Amino acid sequence: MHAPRRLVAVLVSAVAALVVLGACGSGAGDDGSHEAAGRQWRGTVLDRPVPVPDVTLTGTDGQPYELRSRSAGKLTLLFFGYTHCPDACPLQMATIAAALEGQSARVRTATDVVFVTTDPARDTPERLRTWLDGFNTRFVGLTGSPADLVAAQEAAGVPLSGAEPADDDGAYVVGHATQVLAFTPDGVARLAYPAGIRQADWRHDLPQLFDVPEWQVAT
Amino acid sequence: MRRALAALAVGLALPALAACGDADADTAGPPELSVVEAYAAPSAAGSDTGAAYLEVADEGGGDALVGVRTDAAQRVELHRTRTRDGLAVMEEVDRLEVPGGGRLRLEPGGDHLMLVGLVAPLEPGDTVRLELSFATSAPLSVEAPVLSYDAIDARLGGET
Repeated sequence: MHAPRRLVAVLVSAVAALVVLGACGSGAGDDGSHEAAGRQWRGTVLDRPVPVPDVTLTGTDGQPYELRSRSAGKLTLLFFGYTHCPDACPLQMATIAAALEGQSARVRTATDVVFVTTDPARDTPERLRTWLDGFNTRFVGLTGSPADLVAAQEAAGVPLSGAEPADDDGAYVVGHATQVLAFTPDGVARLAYPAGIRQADWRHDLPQLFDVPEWQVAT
Repeated sequence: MRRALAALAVGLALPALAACGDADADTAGPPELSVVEAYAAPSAAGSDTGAAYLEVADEGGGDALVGVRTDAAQRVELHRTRTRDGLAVMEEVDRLEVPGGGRLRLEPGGDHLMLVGLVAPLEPGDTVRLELSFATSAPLSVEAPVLSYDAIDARLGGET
């Protein structure tokens, strides 16, 4: 009986030391590249690829926006957020807007940035348009019924937005997924970009997203 | 015997703790806080919310940020980023810990202060005064400049 206990104690101490060590790193976090299709990516590789959600939402012009057909043949950078969001949403939009500026005309015209609101009650099409125009007038803003917006998030495989019951330390989720999903022209996302990713990371990955032959055409 | 092993476990963990703090830190003593940096992001077009970021260092036994006030907004919420199902989500919390001998880091895309009900849009070049309240230490006041997103990008962590 004693030997296993000793083993447990040593393991606990080793784990404690590792946790403590891990907690005081540089704060850089996930700073490595990730490999997919034989290339290095600054985005993170999804555990399983996600097809473009087959949903029809409403654009800021009030017209129906069929996400799957509109994204065919394009790079679609999909983000779920809301305009009252202070940190991740404007940061992601500002970072992508800046990174797109220096890209080739081909990359710029074949890339759609699609911002889907998770707060349809407050984010009217007009408000979405004003907010997005502050970053790039070409960015697409979408809203819809609560049910359609939930369906879009579920199809994209992101955590559902919205307040949830407080957990035992009194915290509650106010948020939404904070990563951008990159759907390549074949209509599949294999990479995600967390909030806090830099302009340089996008500049690295954007052209490459058009360079993988098997990611360009639906099979 | 079991007690001795427990002590050994603590003994192994403590040097690791000390390794990440300031060499001068007295982690058994009261907190000794200082604000290393503070800045805010520009508010987006048509938005009345903003974000501010801080780095608070402690050379003592640890404390917690429990509230922030500013004249620039109606209220300030403390937001933490947590990973759920492998994906990041934001949540409001009552306090953000300043580890003893360590640092509380709020940064873009991570833990942050949410300024709710901005009195005026935040634009690069503006300055926001933040009054920080702590669980133990006396309040601290700090001037946070509003940085452009390009300037914020240059500060983002992750050497890549």
